[in-house]
Amino acid sequence: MKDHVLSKASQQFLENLRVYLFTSGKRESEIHDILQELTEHLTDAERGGKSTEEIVGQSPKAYMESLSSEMNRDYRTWGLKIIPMLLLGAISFLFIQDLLQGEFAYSMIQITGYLLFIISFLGGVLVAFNLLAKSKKSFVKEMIWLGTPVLLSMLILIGALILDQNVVSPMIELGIVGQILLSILMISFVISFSFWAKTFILPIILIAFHLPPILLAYTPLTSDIQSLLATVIAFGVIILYLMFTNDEDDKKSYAT
Amino acid sequence: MSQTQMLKGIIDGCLLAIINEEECYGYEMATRLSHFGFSSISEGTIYPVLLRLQKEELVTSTRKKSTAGPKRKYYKLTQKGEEELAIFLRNWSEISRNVNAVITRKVGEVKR
Repeated sequence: MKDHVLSKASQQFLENLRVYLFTSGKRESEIHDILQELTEHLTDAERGGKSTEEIVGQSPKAYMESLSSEMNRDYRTWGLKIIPMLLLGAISFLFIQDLLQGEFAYSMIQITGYLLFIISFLGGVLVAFNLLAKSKKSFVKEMIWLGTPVLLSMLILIGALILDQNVVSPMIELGIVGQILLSILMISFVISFSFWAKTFILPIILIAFHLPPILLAYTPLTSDIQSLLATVIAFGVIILYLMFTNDEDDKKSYAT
Repeated sequence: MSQTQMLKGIIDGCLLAIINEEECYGYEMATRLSHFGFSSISEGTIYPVLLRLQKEELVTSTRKKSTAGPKRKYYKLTQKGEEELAIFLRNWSEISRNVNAVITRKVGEVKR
């Protein structure tokens, strides 16, 4: 039998469903199963001349919700894998930046600010993703939905940093031995975590943001151009990595 | 009241009956349902129901080669599923008898 290529509408629906179930914290194996089953159903149906709407009904959003409500939440993956990864990523990001700049003392306000920033950022982005995946929204609306939590958490961080400059709070300082130990701990943590979570997005982001500025510092370019170039390179590398891994995933999930 | 609303719960029983007849996969069930006249409901409706039936251990599923060629997820009733189907059939015959009684009497009175 000839391979049937799913219509754009069906592919779009499956992708939205995947994102929706994923951000709803459903178990990965269950998400895979239902997507596979629906891909097969849609393939059979399209071969028989039926439209996506005849399968998913008039409201894809309501249909996604009805599927989601019958699926188990996967607290384990979320609790053990994704949230720690996002947190670890954010922490190691800030940490390595300070390490490279040789600033290694933190005040209580700073530490609290960082923690609040991480929590509000992660929580907000997850909620926004979940709401967005349910229905197709315009680009402007998507940007507002995602931008709000990002902006709010940034304000919290900036607020904490301003407060830190004006109010004295106890300092926590690390000696050189402490710094080296923490650095080794952080790096081995990042590496082993990447193997365990089976994604290298974290080290890729860390390298993409931190390596170019160091290398560019050796060039005769002005500092403005250096920082501009560093940003462009960082985002370029991350986008390329995501595109590369996405392609791999697509090949796997649409092959029936 | 919309048909979809009325059908909640009834679809569960219909799927149990269809699976009981013969092991089958989602697309076959949907096709059979629409052959029997349930054409107003969208085909995808069966999947949340199948997820629930699996969770309640009324059906089990295995992936195997379909008659058409590629692998599909086939559903089969469990012992508990067969018992549930028997309960559904009993309940349904009682409900349909009662509903019919109510309706025909009313219709009869209006005519008089």
